[in-house]
Amino acid sequence: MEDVKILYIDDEINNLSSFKSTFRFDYKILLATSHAEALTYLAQNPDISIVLCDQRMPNTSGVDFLEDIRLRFPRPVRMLVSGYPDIEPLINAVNHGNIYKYIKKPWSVDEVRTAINDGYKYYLTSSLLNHKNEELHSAYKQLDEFAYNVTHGLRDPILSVLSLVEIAQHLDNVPESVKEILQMVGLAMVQLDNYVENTHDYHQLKNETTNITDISFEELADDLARSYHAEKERKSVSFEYNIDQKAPFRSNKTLLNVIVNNLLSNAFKYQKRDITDKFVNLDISVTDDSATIAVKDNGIGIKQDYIKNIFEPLYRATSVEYGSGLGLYNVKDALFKLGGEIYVDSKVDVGSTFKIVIPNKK
Amino acid sequence: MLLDFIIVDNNSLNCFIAERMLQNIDSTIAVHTFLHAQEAYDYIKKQPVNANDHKTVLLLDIHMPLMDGFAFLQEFEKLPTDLQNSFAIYIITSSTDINDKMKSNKVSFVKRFISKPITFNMLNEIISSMMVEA
Repeated sequence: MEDVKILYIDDEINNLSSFKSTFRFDYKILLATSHAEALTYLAQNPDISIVLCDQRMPNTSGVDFLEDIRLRFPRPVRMLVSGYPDIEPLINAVNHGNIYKYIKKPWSVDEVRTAINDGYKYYLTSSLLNHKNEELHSAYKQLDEFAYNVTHGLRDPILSVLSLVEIAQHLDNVPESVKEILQMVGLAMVQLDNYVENTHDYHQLKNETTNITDISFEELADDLARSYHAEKERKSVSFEYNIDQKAPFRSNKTLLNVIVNNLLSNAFKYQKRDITDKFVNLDISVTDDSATIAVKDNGIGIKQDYIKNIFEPLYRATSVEYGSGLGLYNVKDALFKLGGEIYVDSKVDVGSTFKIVIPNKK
Repeated sequence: MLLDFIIVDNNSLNCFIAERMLQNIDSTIAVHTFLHAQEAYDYIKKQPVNANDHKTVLLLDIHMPLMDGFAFLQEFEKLPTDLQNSFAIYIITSSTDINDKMKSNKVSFVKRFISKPITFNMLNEIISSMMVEA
């Protein structure tokens, strides 16, 4: 145990020297007769694992001193030594977690040795825990950056291909048959892009802290309408949205966006092929208490038996279109974080309505 | 309204795409492309202030090595106001990160935040909104 470094603070020199002579072969011992001196030792010796302090000191009591160093030097295990049982401050100190053990004067060698050995074990465990915590934090941060970079790195070329396909579609000297193939290349890229986005959402949702801001549903819907413009044209789906925002609404923008975006994406994706009056409607009404968002389509619908499973990760209720199986799982996860509810009304060959209610975090 | 374009994107493919689409829309539109934001900034700094009926549309990518889109905007903010007014900045990015969006919405001279892919529709919309403004 000789790597255990102990700082003992007492204004009576006799106490200090008897402590040192008793334990000098067992531990590395630093002695201080004042708090100022103790603070210097603590600053210079970050490897001090145990601090023993006498309660009755001039100026500041031992309890107050230990409380002070708890904030400035949190790592060492703190113990109080006192000959006078000032029970009130002692109870407080123990209850606030300021001291690990109380050693009564006059102390016995065995009692002190046991206290120090126990304290050192505690010190090792909590140091290890802190260290692991820091490692975990930095690993999370790295993972975040990694996910961001991977998402960007994957999406950028995908989106370039989409633009290139569009350029080719506008060229006069490209035969129709080639344009058809290029369109399919484009579709494959859209699928891949959705997959990347869903995976990114999934990761982001795991880490999203609930940062609450003012939400303008008008703006949110405008943005979404813009990003679904191309798909709406391509699939000849009519898209209408109605926003009735009577009250200011506060919530988490990222989570809200994931929810509405995924529901719309599904509504556009799972359309019937053979009808002409395809539609997707988005209705949002906001009151003081909550926002109700309904996404309605007349698409292929979901079989009754499957509805209970659609929020499970990686579950797919159809093979009609390509999907990651993460979309509605992400929706459910985001709703859980916002304290919202979702209601599904769907009939095969008739269409689906997803209605969600999200509380206003005003 | 006389329009010309500056495209800042570290991916040369994206520069090519935007340039090609713009030429397809109107072959008289002048387009400058930059692979490094710093080079674009150095170029812009030396430009004379545009006449009233002339705007330069700047399509800016966010995620770039060395000077990224946000760092570019910070530098741009330090330019003389009349030179700033010669430009209309649109952020075009593959980033879906909402934080990026909020960050750029805070900068008053950014016209809009637009998600890739670059499309004819998008460019036409930008051009017609510039015309309306005139």
